Amino acid sequence: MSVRIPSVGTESQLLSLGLRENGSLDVPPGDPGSPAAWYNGSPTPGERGPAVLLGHVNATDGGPGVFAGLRALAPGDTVEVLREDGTTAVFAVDRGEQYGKDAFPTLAVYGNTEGSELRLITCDGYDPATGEFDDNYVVYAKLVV
Amino acid sequence: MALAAGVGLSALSMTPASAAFVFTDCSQAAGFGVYNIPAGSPSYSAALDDDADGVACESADWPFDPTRIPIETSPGVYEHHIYDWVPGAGPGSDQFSQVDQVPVGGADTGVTVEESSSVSGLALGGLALAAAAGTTLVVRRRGARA
Repeated sequence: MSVRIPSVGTESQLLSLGLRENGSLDVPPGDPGSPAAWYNGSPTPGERGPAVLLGHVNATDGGPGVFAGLRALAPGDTVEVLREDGTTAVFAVDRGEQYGKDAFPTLAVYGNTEGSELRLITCDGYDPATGEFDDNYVVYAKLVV
Repeated sequence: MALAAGVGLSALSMTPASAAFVFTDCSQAAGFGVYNIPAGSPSYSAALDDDADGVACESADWPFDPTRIPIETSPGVYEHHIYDWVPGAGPGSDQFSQVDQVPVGGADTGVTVEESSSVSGLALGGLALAAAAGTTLVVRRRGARA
């Protein structure tokens, strides 16, 4: 499976990842060129429900990560997922929101949806004092019929 | 006088270590699956109680589940623990039935930037925006503490 976001030039394979022991999403490595991932406990993109995709905002060499472009997405931008069966599911961005990691809206991100949706997750809220990212940035997208 | 001071100090040490999570608004509370917060709960606030009847973020559909309120694991750091969702607790069906297991929180998708790294400015579009908005975010997060 792979994802393509033409408006920001993002293109990547999708690793199939689960959860860590502490119950949080497992993430791909932080190396430059590292791919994005699909949380395999969520629906496959195109199925009904929230398909969760995640990727790094930056890389270990200081350059951009695979999902560095999420912040620049505007409503209406398309996200394409090439599925295992060879078909492409096309989604349109609805909105992007930033959340502190201590106030993550579980229901809004992982809760049931009427149709087929995407949740693209990366990090945000860079704090120069600590060198860490304190927030998540979540892009919500819906399947284009 | 010394005795009184000693008593005062020991009273302070008996204060509970964890602070209650205060929701900024009811849609944030709903995001955690928290409704019908009673006045006795540490997470209750009058600001969230529209009709001042002692119940904040009212919902006819969902019960009050205090286990869904984020808990403080270290000063200022809250964790949201996912407990078994109760099917049928709301209208129709379990609100998380489309995922196999609900992840705890978001994704750890930011690589920590070391002091000695080659990149200092991180002038990558969105990241520059994030750094500029850093202070706003800090204020917003601190606002969420009790």
